[in-house]
Amino acid sequence: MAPTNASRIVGTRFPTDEGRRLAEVLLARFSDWSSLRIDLTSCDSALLISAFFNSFLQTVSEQDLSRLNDARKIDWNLQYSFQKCNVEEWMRDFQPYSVY
Amino acid sequence: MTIHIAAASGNHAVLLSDSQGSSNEAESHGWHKQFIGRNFVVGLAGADDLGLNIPHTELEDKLIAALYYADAAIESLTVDDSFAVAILDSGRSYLTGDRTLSLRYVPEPIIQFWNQVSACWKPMQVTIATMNSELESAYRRFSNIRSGMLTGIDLKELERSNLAILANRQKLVEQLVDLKKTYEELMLGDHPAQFT
Repeated sequence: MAPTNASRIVGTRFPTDEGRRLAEVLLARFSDWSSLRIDLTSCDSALLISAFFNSFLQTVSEQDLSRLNDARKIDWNLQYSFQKCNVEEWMRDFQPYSVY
Repeated sequence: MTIHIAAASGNHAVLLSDSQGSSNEAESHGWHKQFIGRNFVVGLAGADDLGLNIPHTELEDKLIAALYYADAAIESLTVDDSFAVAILDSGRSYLTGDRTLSLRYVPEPIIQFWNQVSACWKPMQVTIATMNSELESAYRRFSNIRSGMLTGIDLKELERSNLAILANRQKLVEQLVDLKKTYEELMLGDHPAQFT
C-alpha cells in the first residue's frame, strides 16, 4: 500500500486535535489497517509529539477498538530516527483512558 | 526586523540570531553575532539588556530556552527560523545554524565545510522544537487546574510529556556532542591555533 501523506489531512491546530482528526479520516477512508503506511515527513515537527499520537490512538480505541492493534503497528514514515524511536515507544505503551 | 537571544552562565553560553548580518557597521545588533572565538564575548556583552533570566545551568537547557523564546518572537514577525547559533562551552566557541547563511568572520575550515557543520543544526532544531511543543502541550493540560478540573488523564498526559522531554533532552545532548566532534575535527585539522 502506498503511504498516505498526513500533511494533506492534518492542519495547524493543537496536536491533540490533529491526532484525533487523522484517526477519524483514516477510519473513514481505510477498512484494512493491516498494512497502513503514513508519511509524516512533511508535517511540522512540533506537531509530532506524544499528545498527537496518544490522541490518535485514543480516538481509534473509542471509535473502533478492534483496530487498535493494527493502529499500533502502523508504519510511520518520519524524517529522523529519534522521532521513530519516540513513536515506537508511544505506540507500545499507549493505554486507553478508560484504564485510568 | 531581527531577533537576537543570548543566555550565559559561568560555564557556557548560547547566542541565537535570525540575522545574517548584511553589513559590517558597528551596530550592537548587527554583524558580530556570527563571530566566534574572542569576538563571541563581544556578541554576548548585551545579553543582560534582553532581560532574560534563565535559571538552567546546562548548555542544552540554554539552547532549548533560546529556541523557545525565538519561536515566540518570530511567530508574529516577518522573519523565518533560519538561525545562526553560536555556542561557547569549556573555553571553546562553536558556530552552527542554517545551511543558507552567508558566513563572514568565521574560520576558513568552517566556511569550507559549512555543509557538514550546518547539517548538525537541523536535527537539533527538530529535537528542540519537539521538546518545546511537548512543554506547550503540558502547559495546556496543566492549565485545567485553574478551574479545578485537573484529572487523572491530565496527569497521565503530563507524565507522557515529561518522559518525552527527558528522552529528547538526552538526544539533544548526543547531538551537541556530535556537533562539537565535527567542529573540532575540522578546526584541529589545519588551524588548531584558531580554535578558541
